[in-house]
Amino acid sequence: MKKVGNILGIIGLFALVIGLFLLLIQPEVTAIPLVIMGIALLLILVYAITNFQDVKSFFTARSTKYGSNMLVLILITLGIIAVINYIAVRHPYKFDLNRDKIYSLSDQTIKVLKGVKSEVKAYAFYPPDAPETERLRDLFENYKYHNSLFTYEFVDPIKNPERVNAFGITSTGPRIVLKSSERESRVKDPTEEGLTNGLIAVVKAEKKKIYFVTGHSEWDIDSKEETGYSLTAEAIRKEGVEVAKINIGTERIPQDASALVIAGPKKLFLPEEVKAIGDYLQEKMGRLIVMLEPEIKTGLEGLLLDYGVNVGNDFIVDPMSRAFGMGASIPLVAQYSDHEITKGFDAASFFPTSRTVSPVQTIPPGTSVKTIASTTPTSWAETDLESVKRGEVSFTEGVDTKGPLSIAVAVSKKHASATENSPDIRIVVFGDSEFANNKFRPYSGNGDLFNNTVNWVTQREDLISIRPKKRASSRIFLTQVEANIVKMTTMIGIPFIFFAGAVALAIIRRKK
Amino acid sequence: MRNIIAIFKKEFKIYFETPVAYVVFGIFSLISGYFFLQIFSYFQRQSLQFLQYQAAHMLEHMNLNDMVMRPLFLNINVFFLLMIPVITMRLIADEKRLKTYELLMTSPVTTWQIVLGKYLASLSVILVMVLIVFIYPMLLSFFGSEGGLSTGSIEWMPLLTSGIGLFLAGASFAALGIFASSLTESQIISAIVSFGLLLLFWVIGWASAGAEGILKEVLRYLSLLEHLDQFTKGLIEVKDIVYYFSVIYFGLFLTQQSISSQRWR
Repeated sequence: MKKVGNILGIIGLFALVIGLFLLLIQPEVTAIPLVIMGIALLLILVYAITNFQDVKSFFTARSTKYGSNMLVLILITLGIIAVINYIAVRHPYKFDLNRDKIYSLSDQTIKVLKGVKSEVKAYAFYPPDAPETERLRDLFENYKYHNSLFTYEFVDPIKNPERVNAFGITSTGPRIVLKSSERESRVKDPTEEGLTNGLIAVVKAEKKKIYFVTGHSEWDIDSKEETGYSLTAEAIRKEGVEVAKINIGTERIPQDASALVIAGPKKLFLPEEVKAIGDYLQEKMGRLIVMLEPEIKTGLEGLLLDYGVNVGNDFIVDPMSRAFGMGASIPLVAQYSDHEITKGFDAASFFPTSRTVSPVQTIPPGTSVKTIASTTPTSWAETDLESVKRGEVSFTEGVDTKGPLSIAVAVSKKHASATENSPDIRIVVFGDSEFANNKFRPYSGNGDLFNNTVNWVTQREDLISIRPKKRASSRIFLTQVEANIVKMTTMIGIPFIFFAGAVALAIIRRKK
Repeated sequence: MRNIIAIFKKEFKIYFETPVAYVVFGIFSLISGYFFLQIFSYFQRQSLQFLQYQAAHMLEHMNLNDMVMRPLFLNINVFFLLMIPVITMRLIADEKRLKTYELLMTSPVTTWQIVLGKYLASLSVILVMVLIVFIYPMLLSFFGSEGGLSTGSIEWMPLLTSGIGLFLAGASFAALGIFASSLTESQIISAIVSFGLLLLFWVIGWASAGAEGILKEVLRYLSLLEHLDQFTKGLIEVKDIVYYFSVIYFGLFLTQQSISSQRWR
């Protein structure tokens, strides 16, 4: 009986270990290890009953008493150590002993962080081995250090495609999302400057809402058809910007409008409507995105001219596009200016049936008008629109303009009385409206280009600039002789001294 | 205190009046010197290339602190993991083997005094190894101050913090090593057990790479090698110091408990 009990006890112990092991290595708690452990405990119980005398004497032995005392003492010590470490982690304190304090935040950032009164969480979509990750983690830790309401999480985009999707992250777009309970902002630049500006946007900015103008057969943000704008509307919503429609013929432009979007109107705007838009821009420091189509007169041309944008009466043709599987009427854009919208942007975009929009010769005072995207040198602006309809275009020297052609323009204007920090009027005009529809939005850089544009026009905060800190360069160039000295000293000199010492000691000891 | 010093002196003599410590230093300086030369010559080649291609902005990024000394310290940390069990393996195991253990146990010194005296002696060996590492930046600054193409000099403060960090890391390894030594009378077993313990604490850090959320943070924090990182950046964080001292205290506490348990086992 006792022998059987012994064997069962050993099996039980084994089973217990295996059960624990399974429990630890499995990502989720399943029934199997629990069942194994249950059986194990049962077997051990059988052992205890069959060997009752031994068990009893073990528990009453002096060594058991001391042993369990010791175990308790060790556990208590471990507990105290854990608590102390927990406190140290929760209340970080650190000293930056570098000459230029390269691992400390700038005063501006610290000031912004002091103003953060509710929780802000940063989601950074970088894989662990991305070159940005380490520096970014340092930055996040620093932000957290100055305000514990700031938390962060790295999301590996390869392991978590569903979260990438939920946040609407793309490989060319911003990869850091800062989120508070009510707002969010996106940061493209993984630097202190980028993060702090993003933080200002989350803390200070009002909720953003953009209105798509209706009433002139504009593309519909609710339509899921190829010509619809539902994908674009969805992408903008994912970035935390509300999207709504407005008929400015019958409704006033609401107070909460962060920007108006006029996406591909096919009918003329009434003079009152144009005036309403003009007033909105003037009085509210309004923001506007206009997306035009060739051959269609919209009535907005005069207003745009006032802001220094010339809408060309032409049709862009680019034979190069055939190389990308597109028709010649779909010019390719791969040349962007250094504007905030297109900074660092390197994905090509496609603009089906488009006209030129360009800065006027004499730009109105106080206004900045810049081309942000241009077509390729092989393209030209066809002025004979009849020939386009017939489908037999050709470049006419002296009449048609040769590429690169300006296809998108960004305007920013400040009032004469404006101070440094007051907001400006911002307008972006595209010579095409189909590039952001459901059919063309997924192409290459199209979607990101439009999203970046929305971000720029809805931005009202002042950006602050922070000079990136880095360790001062220190480098030396050794001559061959010097290099040899260093090599000899480190590889032969120093070890030799120690080994010689060892040998000498060994000899002395032997003589003794 | 006097008892601790007496034991410290005895152990110190064993280290430094026999070839043991010098062989350790010889091997250590050979390997760390090799590390250093590899990293430094790569740094020099890179600098020369940038100079050749006149990539001035890339040259501005080159600095001896982050690109030579920091990787060197981090590499030596791993090397310490393998080296320190050898230093601590005999501390208590040897007493048992030589049967002087019973003598020590019945003498009027407490177990804490025994443990501290022996532990401090092993720290003196580690301190010398850390000082050996400082020979390399001294060599560089000796040649680097010549001027010409060489610009700027090494920043010494981050090196000082790295040195402090490396010493604390070594001290933590030694605390676990002395515990392993108290478990057995065989030096070999003692060394293997402390390898095992240290490797376990190292591997915990790898496990954190696969984990998510709070578990990831906890595993990262527990890893013995993770805490030197901030020191090598010239940062002294209270939590890193607390961590190292926790490991040291716990290691010594376990040793003390293990020795005391001999009295009733």
